[in-house]
Amino acid sequence: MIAIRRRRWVLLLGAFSLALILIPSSCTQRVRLKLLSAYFPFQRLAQAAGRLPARLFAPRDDRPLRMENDFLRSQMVSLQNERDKLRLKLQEVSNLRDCWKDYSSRLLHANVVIPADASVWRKSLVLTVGSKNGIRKGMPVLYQTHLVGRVDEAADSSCRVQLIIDPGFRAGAVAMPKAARSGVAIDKRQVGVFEGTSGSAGRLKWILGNTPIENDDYVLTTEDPVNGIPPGLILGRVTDLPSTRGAYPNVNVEPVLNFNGLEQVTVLLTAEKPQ
Amino acid sequence: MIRYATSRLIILGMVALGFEMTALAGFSIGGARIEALAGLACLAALFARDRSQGLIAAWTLGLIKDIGSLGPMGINALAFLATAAAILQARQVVFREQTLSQMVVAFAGASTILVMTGMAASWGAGAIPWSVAISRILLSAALTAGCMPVLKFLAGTARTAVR
Repeated sequence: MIAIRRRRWVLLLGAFSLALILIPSSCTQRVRLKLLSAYFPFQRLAQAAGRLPARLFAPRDDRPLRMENDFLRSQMVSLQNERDKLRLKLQEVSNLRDCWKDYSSRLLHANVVIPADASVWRKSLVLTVGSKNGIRKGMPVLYQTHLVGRVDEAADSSCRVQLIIDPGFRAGAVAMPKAARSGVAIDKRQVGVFEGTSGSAGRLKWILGNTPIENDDYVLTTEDPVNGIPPGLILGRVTDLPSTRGAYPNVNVEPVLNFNGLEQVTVLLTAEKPQ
Repeated sequence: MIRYATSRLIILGMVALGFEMTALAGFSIGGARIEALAGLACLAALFARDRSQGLIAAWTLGLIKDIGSLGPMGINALAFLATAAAILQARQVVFREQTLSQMVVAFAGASTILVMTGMAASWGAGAIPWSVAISRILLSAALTAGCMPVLKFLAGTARTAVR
């Protein structure tokens, strides 16, 4: 009886914790994101404080700046010519997109407010856009042509992104052999599954042992309708390839991006396919 | 730091969560980083007035950690609670005022929390390789133990500043 009384708090709080664990994460994640929004002003303050030493100790000599300015002026002229050419190409692409009625998407830029997860095992970041901006669970998040992750849950004005190195992330992927860069088609047998490991690198699994892969080959996403991730996005580069391979070797894939250094990303707002 | 107020420790825990997700994430070594909240929970269990105060404080700190995490709510709260319960049992035979004792308790406490949350993440989300898991647990626990004097000083300063 005395032992039960002594353990009363452990049993009570333990039971409450278990009850919380049983609640689906999607139910609690919105509340957690709302609570996390209290940290957003502090993150901006931390970013400003981080830039302060660079501003304070910047060189006073303006000669490098003048040289840089002259160089940029010359660059601007050549870029203006290039812009005119690209404008014509963009017009062509826009015309094509208008014809593609089944599936449409647009890009939304977002700031990273919380760059890391509180747990060392999970990998996520929080963005300043939410369901008010059209963000929904599962949308892919990009940095240029690199896949950063996908939206795990969206609150009104913020969302949490599951990074590609999170152990819960999986996507169809293919290693792009060097021969394929010169226009050789990628065979379907080479398609595998990329998964995060919580470490600095991910893994490419379920590829056949005779698949031609070398170190430094890029690993790209493939058509994955279940995950809603578009094909051709960069996941990382092959590293530490084992000399001997089994039937289904696990290949280390190191992302090119430094996820801790991301300040801005792009969310691919995909419209639902018409039934 | 002989006694503390739970509410003040929770405020300090909220500040620590902000640091963990921003500044401390940038100072990680191979993914391992200082577990400030785990360190605070160990201090809370070591210097609790009674058993209930230590358990409630550690559990709440775990819940604060859950707010910033991707996984299900309550995992960290449960791990912090179990660790605090073990420390509360062990503190009868530990000289808690000594810095070395605090560091050893923090190392053991942070390791236990990381093993429990790591198992939960591996089971719930996806497999974490042994090499990643072991190196991260040991390094994070060592970093947390190493910053215990600083954490104790900060906790003591916050206590007097708020008072």
